[in-house]
Amino acid sequence: MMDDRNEGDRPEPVELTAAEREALDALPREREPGRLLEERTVRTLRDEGLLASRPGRRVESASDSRMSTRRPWWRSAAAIAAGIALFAGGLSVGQVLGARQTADALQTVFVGRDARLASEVQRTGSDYVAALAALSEVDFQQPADSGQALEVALTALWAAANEIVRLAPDDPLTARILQGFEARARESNDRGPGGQLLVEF
Amino acid sequence: MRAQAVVPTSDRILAERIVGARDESAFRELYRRHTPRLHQFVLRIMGGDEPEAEDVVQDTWIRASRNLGDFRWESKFETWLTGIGLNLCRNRLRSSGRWTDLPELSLAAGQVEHREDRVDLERAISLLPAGFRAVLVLHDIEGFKHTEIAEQLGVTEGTSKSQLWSARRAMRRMLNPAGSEQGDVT
Repeated sequence: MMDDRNEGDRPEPVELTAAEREALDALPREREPGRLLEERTVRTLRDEGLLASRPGRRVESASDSRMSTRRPWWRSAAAIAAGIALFAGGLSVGQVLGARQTADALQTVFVGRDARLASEVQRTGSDYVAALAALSEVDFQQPADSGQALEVALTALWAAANEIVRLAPDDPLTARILQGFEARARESNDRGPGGQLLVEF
Repeated sequence: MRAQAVVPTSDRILAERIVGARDESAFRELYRRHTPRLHQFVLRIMGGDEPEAEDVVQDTWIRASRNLGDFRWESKFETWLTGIGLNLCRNRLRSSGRWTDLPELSLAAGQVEHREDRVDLERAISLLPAGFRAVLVLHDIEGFKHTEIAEQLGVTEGTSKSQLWSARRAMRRMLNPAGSEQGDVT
């Protein structure tokens, strides 16, 4: 316990010493929070009606629904989550067969423009995984090269997770993925001016 | 061909777009401009608790967005935002019993942890009682004047000054637990 009885024994300066001032000045003034926070905040503001719903979202016609003119966010999120699950499932049974099954299944979940976009995600996701598989076969001569390859692969994954979180900010799996990236970035102190992972291509 | 300088849109214009058109991109721009500083400030006031700091930052933006139309632009937007964040920190700390109102806070009351080991500056700040910490962060790190701190915390200017002195003293003791001369800061 701290005791003030000896307060007068040793006079202390009221003002900061030069060394103290310098140390306080050297403390960081800024710190990037997780990317998830921005999406959580935007989502809450949209729910409160303080921000407009995201432009480009499909608006249902009156014949689609008499109750609502806009597709509820949870329906879009659920559809996309279903698409992602189908994508993952497709990969697990084999890329070629899985891709076809997934593409077929996507048609039943999504319609119109949504279906094209979801198919695009599925197709490019398969391309990404195929490229990773090829990369993993490379016999790197230098450890630095394999490290660079890993960073390239992770950066694409990180960028994808950053977009997925916009679709479903409350999704716990995406949150954990992003938190993992953020912890990694903090550990390695490998952050750019915008607080993002930096990879030299 | 001469490159054109990109002039960032002012806070006020972005705020008007948020209030008038509920413009998400304007909000995101304003958010990204001010959040890193707000987050660091809130994190320090909350004693380094990252998840709690993020909750406070989110609540700060929600409250700010609700009241954006009433903001009169007589102070800097950043200062206003910091004030909201500080209030939310105090509410949260008070509701969990971690905030003692400044006039009742004293070094003699056993409210400053005595440590045998030397800690670094950031850690020392996080170990201060929340009231001391708030005054020290506002004055010595954020550069607020005592009149502003007094207004923000609802105390007199004299209380702010005396609590700053106590906060610095507590911080020095944590940085130099053996009682060596002050100024040796890491």
